Amino acid sequence: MILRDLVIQSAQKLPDALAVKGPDTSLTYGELDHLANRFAHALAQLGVRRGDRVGIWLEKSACAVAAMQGVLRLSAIYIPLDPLSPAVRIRTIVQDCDMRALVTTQRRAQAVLTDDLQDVAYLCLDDEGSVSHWDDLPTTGQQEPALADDIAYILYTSGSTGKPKGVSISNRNALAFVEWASQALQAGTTDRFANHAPFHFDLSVLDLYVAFHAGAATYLIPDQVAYIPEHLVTFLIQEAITVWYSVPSVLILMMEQGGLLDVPSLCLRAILFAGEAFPIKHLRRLYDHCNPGEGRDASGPYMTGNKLPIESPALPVRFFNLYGPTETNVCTSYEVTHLPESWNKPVPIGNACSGDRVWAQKEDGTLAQPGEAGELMVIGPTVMVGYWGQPAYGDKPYATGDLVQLLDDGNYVYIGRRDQMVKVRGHRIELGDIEAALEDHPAIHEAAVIVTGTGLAARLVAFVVHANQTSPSLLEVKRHCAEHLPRYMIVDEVHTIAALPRTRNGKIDRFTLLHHI
Amino acid sequence: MQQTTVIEQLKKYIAQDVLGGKDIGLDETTPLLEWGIINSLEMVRLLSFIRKQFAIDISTDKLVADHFTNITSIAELILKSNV
Repeated sequence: MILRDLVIQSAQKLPDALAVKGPDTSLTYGELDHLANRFAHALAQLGVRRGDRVGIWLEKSACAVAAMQGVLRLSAIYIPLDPLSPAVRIRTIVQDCDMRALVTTQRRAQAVLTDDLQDVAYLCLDDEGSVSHWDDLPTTGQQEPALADDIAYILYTSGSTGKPKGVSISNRNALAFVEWASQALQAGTTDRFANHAPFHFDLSVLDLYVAFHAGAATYLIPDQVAYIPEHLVTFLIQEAITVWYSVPSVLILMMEQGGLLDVPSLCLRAILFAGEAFPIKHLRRLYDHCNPGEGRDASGPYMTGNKLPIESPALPVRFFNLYGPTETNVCTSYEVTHLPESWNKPVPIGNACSGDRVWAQKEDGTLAQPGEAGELMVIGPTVMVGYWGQPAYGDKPYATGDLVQLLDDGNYVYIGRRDQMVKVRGHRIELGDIEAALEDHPAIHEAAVIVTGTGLAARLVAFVVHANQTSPSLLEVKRHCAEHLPRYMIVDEVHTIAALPRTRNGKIDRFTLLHHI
Repeated sequence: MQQTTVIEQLKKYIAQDVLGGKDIGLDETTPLLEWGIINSLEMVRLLSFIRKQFAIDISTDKLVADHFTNITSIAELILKSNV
């Protein structure tokens, strides 16, 4: 089985069941199957063949999902692109992966099109999400042979030198995670998944493919809803969502600003989160709200000895903390149960899943023992094929750059990074990527970026040394960032500084910079 | 309410409370969403400012990106909601 078979099999078994509800349209599995075939025919006409790279630069929509499936049917590779990224960055990616075709809108195509990108074919959709010759295209089978080790999609992530890196994920990589998650969640045809993460973000792989695997429906959250916590809560209620997956920041906003804890009963049966640590204080409030009555008695969840349950709650809501960089997909998981009051560590990232093996390696190369910390290493079926354009990763363990501590019970807790990669509201950012963009500005000679605050209060603060007498204003810097970087990487503050502080070995002293604010 | 008054009040709020008062050059056409000036957190604060300052609740169906492109479009939204 390969990744595309998930939709194909559900379309055979449940053609009339809802597959995707998007802001544009709703598609049953039968309709999704037909639309995917149309995309495949349209792309084949443009010359797309097995192994070719096809970008998808669209707003989040059911149509974009069908486009991805169309690419897979040609055994080509799809690349979901951030709809909020500026054209400059899209062009960098088009060139990096030598893109054969781009599925987008007329307006977006015009923004990307330049003389040096003439080899790219465009499939432009109109406002209704279709192409002009749609009706001439067959809705029936269009499948090229493919292998489990073929690359299915590439996710571009922030690179430390200012150039995005393409993480290449094979059918085998993606399926190892999807099959594990389907099993862990016991996903079924009656589930309704919410898709919060954008498609270029690896969290969306669960929302789409675990739903397809189960023949369940996935409800895409449009941007305008995602912006407003109250709307997210309304969405959760109206669509009777059963499985929610997002970064913790979003859940916290829904609690703090959206009134989530005022909703007496939800249809939710599983809440998953990843991308950053869920602060225990907030996690406990959400957990206790969703699972009232549980854990009130110190001896265990529902049953105390041979007595009857304290209350007979509805089915408990399961909480999962998932961990894994884009390069390894989800490689560890932790199912949260009642957290004792005495718990004073971050919520654990748990232990290996998806068929992977993980361990913590100390600086001297030896294995961390319980209580000790080291860098988390991963080996197994979910570890990427490699970065696009670089040699295949092979069977080497992947060094995550994340420092973890091994607990006595065998679980791991995340403690920090080894390098300059940061997480801001769940988005993975290489500070060097922003610094490179800033230094591209004619008035900026040198730049350093740090993150202040944590969780929702996190801010990207830039320090710039100006190239001539005038220092650019905050607005000017934001405008410049918006032209070069995805929106979540635009700096929040700018400080002008005479020279960047450096450590004795010449590295930027980020700690000292903190005191310049 | 005059459109110019609404624009001035919004400009003052965004310049001082969002951009930290250090900015010159913010005008009614500055792209707020596109330049990352209003992100999801700031959106929540902005709506509560509008609620307090103009005694207006922006209805749910109006909360789309087109209405928050820049200060002019927010002012138009406020004036329309005030009818």
